[in-house]
Amino acid sequence: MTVPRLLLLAGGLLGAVTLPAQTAPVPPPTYVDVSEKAGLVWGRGLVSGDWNLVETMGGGGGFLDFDGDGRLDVYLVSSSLEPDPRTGRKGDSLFRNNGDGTFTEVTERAGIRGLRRGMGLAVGDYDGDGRPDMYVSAHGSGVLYHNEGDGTFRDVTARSGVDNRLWGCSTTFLDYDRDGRLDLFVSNYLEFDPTKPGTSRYPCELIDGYPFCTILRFEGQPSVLYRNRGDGTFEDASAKAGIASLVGKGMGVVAADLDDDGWIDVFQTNDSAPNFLFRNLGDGRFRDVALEAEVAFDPSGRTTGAMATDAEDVNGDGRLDLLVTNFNSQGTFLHTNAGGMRFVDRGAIVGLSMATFKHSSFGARFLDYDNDGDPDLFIAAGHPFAPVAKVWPEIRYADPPFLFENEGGRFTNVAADRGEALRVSHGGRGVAVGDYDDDGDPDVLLICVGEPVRLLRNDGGNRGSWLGVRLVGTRSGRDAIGARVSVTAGGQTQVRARVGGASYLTASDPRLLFGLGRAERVDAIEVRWPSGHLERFPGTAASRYVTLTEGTAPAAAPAKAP
Amino acid sequence: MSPFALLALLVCLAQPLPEGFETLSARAAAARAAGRTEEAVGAYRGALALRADWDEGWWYLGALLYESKRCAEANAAFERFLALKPDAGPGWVMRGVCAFELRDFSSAIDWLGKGTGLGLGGNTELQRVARSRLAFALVTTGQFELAIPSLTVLARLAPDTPGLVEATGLALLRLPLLPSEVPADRRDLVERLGRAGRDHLARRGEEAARGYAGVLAAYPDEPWVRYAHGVFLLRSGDEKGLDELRRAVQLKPDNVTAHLEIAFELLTRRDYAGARESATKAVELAPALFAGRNALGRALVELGELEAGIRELEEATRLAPESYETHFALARAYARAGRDADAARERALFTELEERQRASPDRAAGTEPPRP
Repeated sequence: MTVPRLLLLAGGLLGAVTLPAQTAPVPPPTYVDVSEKAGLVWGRGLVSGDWNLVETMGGGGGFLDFDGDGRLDVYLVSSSLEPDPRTGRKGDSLFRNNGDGTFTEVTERAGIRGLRRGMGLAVGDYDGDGRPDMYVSAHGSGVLYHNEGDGTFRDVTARSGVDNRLWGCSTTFLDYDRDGRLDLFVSNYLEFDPTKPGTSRYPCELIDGYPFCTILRFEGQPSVLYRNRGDGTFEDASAKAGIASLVGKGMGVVAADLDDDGWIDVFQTNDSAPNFLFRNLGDGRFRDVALEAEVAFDPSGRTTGAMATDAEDVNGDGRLDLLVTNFNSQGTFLHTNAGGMRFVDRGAIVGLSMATFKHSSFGARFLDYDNDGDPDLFIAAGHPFAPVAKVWPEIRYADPPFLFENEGGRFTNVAADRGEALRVSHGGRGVAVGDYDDDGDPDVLLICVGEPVRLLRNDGGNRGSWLGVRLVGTRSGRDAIGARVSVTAGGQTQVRARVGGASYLTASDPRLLFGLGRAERVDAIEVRWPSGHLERFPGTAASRYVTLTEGTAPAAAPAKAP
Repeated sequence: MSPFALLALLVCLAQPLPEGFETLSARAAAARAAGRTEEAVGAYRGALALRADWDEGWWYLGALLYESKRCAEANAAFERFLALKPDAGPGWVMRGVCAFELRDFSSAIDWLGKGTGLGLGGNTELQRVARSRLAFALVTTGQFELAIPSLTVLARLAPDTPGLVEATGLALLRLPLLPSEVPADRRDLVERLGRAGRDHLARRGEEAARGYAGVLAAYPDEPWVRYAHGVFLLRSGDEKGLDELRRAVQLKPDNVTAHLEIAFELLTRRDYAGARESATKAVELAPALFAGRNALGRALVELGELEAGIRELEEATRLAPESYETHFALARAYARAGRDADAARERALFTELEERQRASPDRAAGTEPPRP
């Protein structure tokens, strides 16, 4: 809730209230599309034909600081082999942040080569050399890029043993065995290869040359877990971990410690198949507990076209809740964490379900766009199938994104009032959140299909105080994926997790951004590292980025027993 | 050789030799290929008399007899074929088609359902025949909701199938008739509504919208037209569908289907109080219908009335033990009531039934069964 709204509400409740002069209405933050101005020119058309299904499900990319200059760069994944109509370039693209609000395309210079039908991006320093590496999932064969430290990447896929030949979708690095090294989880989607004899006419109707598919008719694929051996290679640990036999249709993935036992779990949304909630048993194995946790199906016991997911403590009870965006006529789920790996969907109660009901929602992330201290929500919308309006006249292929403002626990879509950029319809897919201009409010990278990428700059969010936290693990992996951070300021404590994955096909800013409202100072910061180590860091002035390194707090608290 | 023996040999040689199996089967195939049906039938019968385990022979004999409109004999031949090849989907379908022609609709439904469930090897023409006869049989026996998946497959696979428009119209109007039996005074309504419904099932949303507008203009007070339009609007993402369903209930207050549709739509929208109201009416009107108990039980559980909700859901599982969604709802209710062992048992049942449902041909074809 923005400050003015809070005051108006108080005024309504208390009757006539004389507002002090300094509380004159402050305009809410807005989002501005700065893609063109920033030189972020990128986007492919949808190519009708047999590969259209892959192209329409694409839309991956995200933020990473590949050159270590402290600024977020942008990587965009191409699901098409066709050239960009505006630049003529084919394949993925890497844009370096110049630090002045603009970007320079450096793909070739960075050694990014090869053409594939790419899908998603995961970022993590898998070899602990202090530089972020990348995994790009793809239909057919994903790629692991090692960051060489000189502004270039090296394709180490073959050498590393990370060789997923299925249709890789959302992906995350995580340290599931707590050995301090980042492992890799790749969700795989479904069986589809129009080059195989007899399968070129896949089970989709073609309407005006574009597919309209029934995902139920496709065979799903198992996801893959690669365990980091620590020598630059990975082993396929899917069978040992107990996930190899579980066939889904993976879309979104989030890695977080959902039951607060110190071991990172994995939630995978599946498209027209039961979702997976892989509970980490702490001995190298996972068990799918989605059914008993009540996150596998909708409340009717039916599968949904589940797309993106995110994990965030939405209601401030210290537990991580799960978001699931869905196909049209299913609404968005907010599975609030009741403890003990039990969840209760409150999507309707908090206003998310009906607001999104008519729309197909894809990428989504929680963010505190107005820095008022509670999580808001950004959702990309857009139907997967171009001819949808011919089939269901009320459903649109392109939709404006949603920006849900958290108003005391209830979410209201305020997108239309938060800038022209949020009133424009898109075939929205990936959503990555990151403070690319380091001004303390969350910007959004909206990746669409068949149209240019959008960099949406947050203007005015930093009118509220904030704290940015960059975590550096030592006993834990450097990325500290799975860490939980509590920030106390102005009498309020917020808990946020450094989750792995989240959204759909994208990698967001690895830093955690806390909105602090009017607090001018942070009183305390507590970090529970993935290693189990619990540390309390001293307070600090607000509205700045801090780097917290594991083991450097003045007085380390005893490690919490898992 | 004695003269008698020589004579016997000559007599024997002078008579034609009885045809062997190879000769007869080859003659049967040739006659069938040449369109000499009667000769082919005779040859197949002869060959099968020599080798009763010749499955191919029984198949072709049955097919020829069916084409000759001798359905009772064809049925007997397919029965013999299926005794040898019990997992042959096409055999069950052909038996079902024969039963349909003989107006034995109950057997037709069983056998056509079994055949399509076993698979037809990608034979789209047989699929079309099977689905159309199954749909017509279900409609004429009043099983309208169960006819929808087959009508959907037909609408997408072969929208111009003879009788499809009429059967869809009959199903939507809840008239238990065959397409050939539509009375003259209802023909216009059946065909107009059937065309709109067929287009809806075929995913031709724009055409369906035009069709519904036309039929509504002509028949504004026909409750089943309002109902069908309401369902179409809801499936198309138009919230005005609920208003249409409520109008259908006003026009026909004992319309259990409309009450149920409203209840499930409101459950989807998490309007549990509204869902309880509509589900209660459905249960009052049709206490033995599991779907009403399911909707009412789920609404009660969500409203915090756990014990009452569990009672309704337990009754629903008793009425329809194969309903995976009801076991799911009951598991959730038990879990909320802290009855973990009961919840685990219901989850196990749900998982088994849901996986079976997911593998079913209708689900694989992308047509959803009527809910719940």
